[in-house]
Amino acid sequence: MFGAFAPLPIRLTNVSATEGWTAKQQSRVAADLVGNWRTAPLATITVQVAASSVTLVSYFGRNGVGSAYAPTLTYTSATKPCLLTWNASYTDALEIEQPWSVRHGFAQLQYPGSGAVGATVAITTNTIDVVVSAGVTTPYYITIVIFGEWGPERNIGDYGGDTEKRENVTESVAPYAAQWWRELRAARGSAYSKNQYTLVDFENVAVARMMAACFSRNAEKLTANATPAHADEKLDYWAQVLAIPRQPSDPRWVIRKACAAHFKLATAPTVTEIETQISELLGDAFVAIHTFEGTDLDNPPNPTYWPAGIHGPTNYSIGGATWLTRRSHIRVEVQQPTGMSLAEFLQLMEVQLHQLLDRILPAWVTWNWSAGSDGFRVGVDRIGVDAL
Amino acid sequence: MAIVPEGSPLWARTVDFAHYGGNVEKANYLSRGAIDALTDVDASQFARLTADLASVTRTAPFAVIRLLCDDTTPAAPTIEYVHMATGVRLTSYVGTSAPAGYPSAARNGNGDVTVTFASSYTDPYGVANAFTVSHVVPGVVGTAVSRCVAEIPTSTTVRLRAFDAADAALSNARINFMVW
Repeated sequence: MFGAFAPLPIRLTNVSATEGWTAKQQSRVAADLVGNWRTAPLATITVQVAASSVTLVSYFGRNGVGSAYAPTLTYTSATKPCLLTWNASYTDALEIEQPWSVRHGFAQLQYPGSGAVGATVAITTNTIDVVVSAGVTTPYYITIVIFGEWGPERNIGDYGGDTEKRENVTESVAPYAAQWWRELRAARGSAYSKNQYTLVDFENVAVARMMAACFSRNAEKLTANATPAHADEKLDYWAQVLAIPRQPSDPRWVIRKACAAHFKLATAPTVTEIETQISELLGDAFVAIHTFEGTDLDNPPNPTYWPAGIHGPTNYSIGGATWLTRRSHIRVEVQQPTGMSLAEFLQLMEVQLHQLLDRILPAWVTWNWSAGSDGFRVGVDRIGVDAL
Repeated sequence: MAIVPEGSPLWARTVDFAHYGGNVEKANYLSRGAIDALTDVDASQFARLTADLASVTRTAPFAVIRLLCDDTTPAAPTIEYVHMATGVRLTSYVGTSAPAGYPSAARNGNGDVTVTFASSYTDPYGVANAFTVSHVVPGVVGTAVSRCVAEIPTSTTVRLRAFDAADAALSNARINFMVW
């Protein structure tokens, strides 16, 4: 809901189309913003080329509008009239310095004369060199559109999106502040004005908001912070308690997701529960888990090692002998999602997944992860002492 | 229970600001505006956000791609950079070995390639929607004057042909193009 009775954070509600914002609508906003962010132009710029110079006509960039945000313009020659050089980074609206990378460029010549003329772009690191046909009569205009990245790739989590998003139920009909306001107005009695936009009314609204924050939202926050999936202020606490590996650049929704997966350790590590927890941690990177149970109990799968039977490598001995069987091995099949860098993918697999499985699996269970339906990729997939 | 967002993914081009919660009658609860402009979002501000987002969603390209023709070997072109509404790929790949979710590309001749998209794509919430190529704007990347023409042979393919200043096929052309 919006307005004085519903201060931020906006609470999702499905009660009124005119006063609320539903979880489905918020989810669509998050998804479309991600899509727009990926393909929207970095900048559109028009320049005028004269006999031996180039000047800026207009500049619309994600970094800002106008000459203050435009790239440096350099005139080289009649056939290379415009070299545009952007900075390596620009400061965004939140005053965060974000790297700027130009990947695609299009140049369109606005030429009123006749003849076959054209414009091509040469792209190097954050520069666009426009090349035009020889003999084009000056002055003329060129419009250039560029695409690329400005800052890290966006995720629905950056906009509050979550595949489990839902409407709140406590303030969906009437915000806490409105409930308190009604109570206050009734409690004041007939000596006080009940008209809107009076000093008494302003005081009622202000006190109602304060009481809603202190006595209603705080109580709900306490409940929400008791579980990491819903936690906000206590998220750092959960990350510390659950020993979640973090990087300074990790957004809070990534930490929350990891905490939620680790928190479910209280339940027994059945195959279903293990699959659920891995799926929640890895998200789109998760494909399936595979076990090797077999049906012939008299002939265990190879390799199976135990002291009274087949002796295994001494390196695997846990003191006295090696106890190891493929029946107690889990293979986690994964994939690198589109949009996730290799560094992020490996951090997820080698750190996050490792810590999760290290804690939830019994000591006699081994595991590995691999991309694809089977096998491994050298240098990428996890193969080590714990892989059979 | 996983949520299914309102409306359809961006490339359906059926977006309406109501899908984002916009409404011409959008109002603050009990008609009370924001108390503190620094902590509250007013209904009118939210309405503007939804209207503007719907506007840019209608015109945002579905894909911006740069590729390099291989007319020396000859072989399929290398896709160098892909910025799609469904994902960004900055690691190049050969057109005939496209990773899941990214378009493939085949060589027809010198400076002549066909790029093939899937007939359907999925958004971050798992909502699938058919994709049909409607517009293509190509351009050549290079240091010599040249040009590129595009056609849309089928609803999911784009054919690009690069020519030099003399209108001869441009071998090993580096082309970038936008698709809606």
